[in-house]
Amino acid sequence: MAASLRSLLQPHIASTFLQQIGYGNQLTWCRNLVLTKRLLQDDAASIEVEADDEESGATSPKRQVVDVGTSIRYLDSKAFQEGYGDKPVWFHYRRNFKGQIAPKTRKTCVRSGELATSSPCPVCRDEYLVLDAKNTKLLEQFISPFSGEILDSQKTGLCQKQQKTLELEVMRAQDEGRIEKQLPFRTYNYDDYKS
Amino acid sequence: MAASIPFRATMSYSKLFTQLAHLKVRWRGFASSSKVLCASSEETASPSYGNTTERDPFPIFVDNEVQDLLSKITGFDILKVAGPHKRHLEKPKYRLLTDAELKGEMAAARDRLSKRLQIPPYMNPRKPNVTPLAVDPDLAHFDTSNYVFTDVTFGIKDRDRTVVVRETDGTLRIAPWDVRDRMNQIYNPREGKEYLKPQMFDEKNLERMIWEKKYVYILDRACCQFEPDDPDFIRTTHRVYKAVDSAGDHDDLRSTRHFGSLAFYLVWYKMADSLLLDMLKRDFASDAADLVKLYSIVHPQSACTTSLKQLSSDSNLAAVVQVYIDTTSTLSSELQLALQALEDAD
Repeated sequence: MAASLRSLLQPHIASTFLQQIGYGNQLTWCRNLVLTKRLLQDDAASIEVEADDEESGATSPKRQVVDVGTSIRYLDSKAFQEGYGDKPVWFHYRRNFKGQIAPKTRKTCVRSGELATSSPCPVCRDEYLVLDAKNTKLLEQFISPFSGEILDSQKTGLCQKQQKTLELEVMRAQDEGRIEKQLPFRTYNYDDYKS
Repeated sequence: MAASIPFRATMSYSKLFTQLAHLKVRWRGFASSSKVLCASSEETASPSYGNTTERDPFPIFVDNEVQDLLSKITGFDILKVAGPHKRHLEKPKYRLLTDAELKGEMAAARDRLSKRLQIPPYMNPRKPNVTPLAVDPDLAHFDTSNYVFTDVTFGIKDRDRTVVVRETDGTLRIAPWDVRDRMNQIYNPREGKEYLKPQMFDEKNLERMIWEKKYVYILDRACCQFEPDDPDFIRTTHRVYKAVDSAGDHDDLRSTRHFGSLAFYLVWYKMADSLLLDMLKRDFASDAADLVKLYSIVHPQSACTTSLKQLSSDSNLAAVVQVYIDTTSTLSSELQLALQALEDAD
């Protein structure tokens, strides 16, 4: 069962599944990517439950843990292109709040290893998006190309936990020179160096 | 010496000593490695090209004639100098101006931009201070770690600041350069400089960035992070200049503050041939002549200089370059072809 679950979570297989249920190329507008995937998983799991009775005792992870390398490959993949198009991952995300003024984003979308909300933030909703210093293509989607500053969570809708991770990873990436940062202009006084 | 140091506590003593304790931990790690590091980086910093490493390039570099030549070579492409820089976004301000005022504003902007082309000083790596100021065996084992004393008098320049270290065996020394840099950053922080050296300047990351051709960014950040005579600065910049020269990307640095340094470095180590070729291919004949003149100033004993002196003062640019090709060039056939093509085009 575990093996079949894992194969289900591969991006290309997930996308073919979604195509089968009629989403096809409208993935861009499908807000609950992860939820859809999880529902499919549950269906698949319930079918196989009888067959794998002896394995059901083993604890399977509730939320898949994806490594950075996979995430980097995912960002270059066709599945990613179909899902998000040329827009940043947060572009089509809409927050669900009452009134005109948006409150602060929620503290976290994932509690005890499981999605705790029906509208998780743009990074939490897709397990294959991993914020890491090496994953510059993803980090750059959250950075203003003009000022080099990190975009506000009010704009991107990231939960506080992911926003904090983002800030740390951007700093790490800047330290390693993967992302360029603002630099002041240094003026020299040549007389200081004459000795 | 120790008594003459005006030592002012700008913070409460308890706070100061917490900081000192904090420093102690770092100091232990640095103390053992600093001297070894200095020695090794100096070896790698300057490639040994005969006796040129012994000469001090800075007096030649600040000479007015050399500075003029370097700034002429650099060029002034206003779109590149004023090009996009990452900075905090502000709302634009609109004003109604007369023609005369507009002209004045444009001139002021040009002036402001030309200051962005100031060339970072080209220096030899600094030497470590090894002679102790005082040896007091009575003070031996006064504590388990070294104490750093810093002069924090208002208005003192970073390069003139007195920083001394009392070591555990009772020796008083002038602080090693890395300690000095960290003390300066603590008491007189400079924007853009990190307390610890960014990992960007490690060999692996540097290699990756050079491969991505982020030359200007590396050089800009090196200027912000290091002093111009820091062995790390010299190692990093020379590594980049070498990469630029071998990849033939001289044009990436043109109209930036680093082009002058690049040209001076190449001329200093007598490797300016490919730069000269690049200039000739891009129709910068006057730049090429300026580069040859720079070569003759930097190397007054060379054959090129003596031949240049025999040339009449009103001889054209091609003749000046021809002298270089005849006397010192290693790529003479290619340079000759490029020069010929340039002359035919005129």
